[in-house]
This record gives sequence, C-alpha cells and structure tokens, in this order.
Amino acid sequence: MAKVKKTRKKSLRRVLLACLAVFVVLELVAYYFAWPRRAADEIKGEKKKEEELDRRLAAQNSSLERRVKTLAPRGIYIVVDSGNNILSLRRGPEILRRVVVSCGSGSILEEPGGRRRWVFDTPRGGFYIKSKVKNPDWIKPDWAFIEEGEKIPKDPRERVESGVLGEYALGFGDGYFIHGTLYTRLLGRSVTHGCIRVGDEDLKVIFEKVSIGTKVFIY
Amino acid sequence: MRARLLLALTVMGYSFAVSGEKIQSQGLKNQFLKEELALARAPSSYFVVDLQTRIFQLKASGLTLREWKIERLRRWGDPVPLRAISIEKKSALFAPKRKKIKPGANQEGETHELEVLELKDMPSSFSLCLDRGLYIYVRPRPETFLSRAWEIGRFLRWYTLIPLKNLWFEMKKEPLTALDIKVLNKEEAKSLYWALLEGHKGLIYPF
Repeated sequence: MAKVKKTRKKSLRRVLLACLAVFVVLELVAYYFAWPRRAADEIKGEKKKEEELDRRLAAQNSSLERRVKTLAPRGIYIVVDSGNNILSLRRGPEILRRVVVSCGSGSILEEPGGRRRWVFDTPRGGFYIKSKVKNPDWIKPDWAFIEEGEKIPKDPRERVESGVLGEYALGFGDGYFIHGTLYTRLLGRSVTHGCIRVGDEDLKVIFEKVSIGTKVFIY
Repeated sequence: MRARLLLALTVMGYSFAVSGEKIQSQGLKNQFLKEELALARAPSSYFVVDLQTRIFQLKASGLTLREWKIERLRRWGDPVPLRAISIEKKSALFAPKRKKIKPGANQEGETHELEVLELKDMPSSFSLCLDRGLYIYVRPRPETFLSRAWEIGRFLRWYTLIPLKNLWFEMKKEPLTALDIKVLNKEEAKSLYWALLEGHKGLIYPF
C-alpha cells in the first residue's frame, strides 16, 4: 500500500514538473515574440539619398507643425473640464478666468412606457458660441415635464419659464447653453441636464468677453 | 596606419548609422504630424500618447486641453501603429454605472442624495482596447497596502499572461501591442478615464 502511494506521489510530481516545464518553454517562446519592437525598424526602406531626404523631411515637418498650430484659436476661447466642473476662459496659453461650474449629471431618464430615453451628459468636443441671449427664457423640453412627473403640454406657451437660466445664456448648439443658475450651492457638482451652469458674476464676465464664433472645447 | 584606417571606418560607419537614425525619426515625425493634422481639423478632441516624453495629452484643434504625466511605462509586442487609432472599448473591474432618474422625484433640492455620475465614481485602474490590436492598461501609483498587494496580481498578469496573449495573437497572425501606463495618483487616473471616451481617436508617438 505504501509503495503504491509512493509511486502515485512520484508520478504526480513528474506530471507537475512536466507541466511546469511546458509552461516555462511556452513563456520563453511568448517572451521572444512579445519583446517590444521599435516602430523605426519598419521604415528602414526609406534610407535612399539620406541627406536630401533628411532635409526634405525636416522642412516638411516644420511646415506641418506650423499648420497644426494655425488651427488653434487666435483670440479668446473657452475650455470646460466637465469632470472637475471647471470652466476656463483663455487666450493662447494664458488663463484669463477660472470658474467653478456645474456640468451634466450623466443620469438617464426614461419615458414611462420606454418610448424615449435621455442621457444627461454635457457634450464633449469642439464647439463654438452660436447665440448670445440676455434675460433668456427657458423653453422646457419634453424631458423636463417627464422628469417632474407632469403631463407634456400641447400649448407651446406653457413651456416657457422665465428667470431660471439667469441673466445671460450662451448657446453652443443642439439646445445646449452656458447659462446662470438658481442653484448656486450646487456649483462644482455634476447636476445639470447637459448645459453648463455658471454663477451670476462669472457669467457676466464670460458673456462680455466672448462673441459669436468663440471656440468652446469641452472634455 | 592600420589603426587610423580602422578609426576612420568606425567614424564613417557611426555617422552613417546616426544619419539613418535621424531620417528614421524624421520619417516617424512626418507620418505622425500628417496624422495629427487630419485629427486636428476635425471638431472633436483627440488624444496623443508621447512615449518619448511620457506624456498623455488630450488635444483639440492642435491645442493641448489637458496633460497627464506617465510615471512608468512598460511595453510588449508589435510597434505602435503610426496611424490614427480609436478607442473601441473602455473596461474596468468596477466600471461606473449611470443612475436612473425616477420621474416625479425632484432631486435638485436634495444635495445629500444626488443621483449623479461624478469624477469620484470613476475607476482608477482600467484598460483601453483600441483598434489595430492595441491595448493600454492604466493604473495609479499604489498608495495603500491593499493596492500594493493588488500590484502583485498586475505584475503576474503583465509578465505571464500578456506575453502568452501575444503568442496567441502571433499564431493567429494578428497584431498586438500592449502598453502599461502608471500615472501619478488615483485622481489623475480617474480624470483620464473621464476624459477618454469610446470612439475617441488619437495617436501614439513611438519611442
């Protein structure tokens, strides 16, 4: 009985060792293939007429760099960090004003019955100011009524609400605005339906500094 | 005389090698700038990972919106693609979930129960699956005992599983490049997760 146990132990040990050996060999082969390769090795074929090529490439590169730089806005532009709820008014690399704002909550609203669905994110990317409005009225969209558990009105006049967007609003497309808020204590939190809420004093400065066409970058 | 000849040949060989390297790097830069110009012309933002300077950038119209310093970088597999790539999938063990609004329950007045998705809810360790077989693993510098212990798991995955995965891809004749990026802290990693979106395009400037 003891002999059988010993041989079993031995064969188990052998199997384990064999598995380990296979694993080590496999890893070695994997390491050989996975070893990082340089991107430069891939363009070795372009070594002809080296000096001329070098000069041509250098000239082309500086022209390309210039072309990329010219795409950047020349005047004032707005950058919104939607994660940290920070809006900055910039000119070139200089930050003219840094403001705490409120951006989209990222929440989802579904219409009872599941016909429509809204995701309240602040849109990301590059936009530009399309409209500047003083004392704006809010034309409540369907989701505002659904969220409040109210019936969607048929008369468009019932959608108009005054005073909730502050004194100024800057539209940057698709119904999104940079506007004021009644909920100033929520500035710095992601609570909006996608618009960017700004405190009254800061909003006034932003409104005065930007013009139609001012670039807005949101990330 | 023989020694001088040898020295001259060595110097000549070295200068040829240097000029070859220079052209290669100019060629890389050229390719990279052409791709960046195309991305910068689009209205959306794009990312640039510079493996030389170890900086992860978010850009739009050629303008840098935000930078993240890469503290440590590891790499396996094929060279990084020299073309614009896009994020196909962002995944994390504890991925954030969007909260659903209950119609009729007004939440604006209740600060303590806001059902919102914020930066603090983002994961600090995550992976990005990009096209052309590129995987980027992002994690912060471990700060707590638990995160240091978790690092052992990551170490084992990086040095055993990823090479095996690469071997599998090699057998399927598919490209695979894996990058492991360590950023300064949790907040940096979370903000990176926030800033990058699925479908986001970008470039990786190679070594």
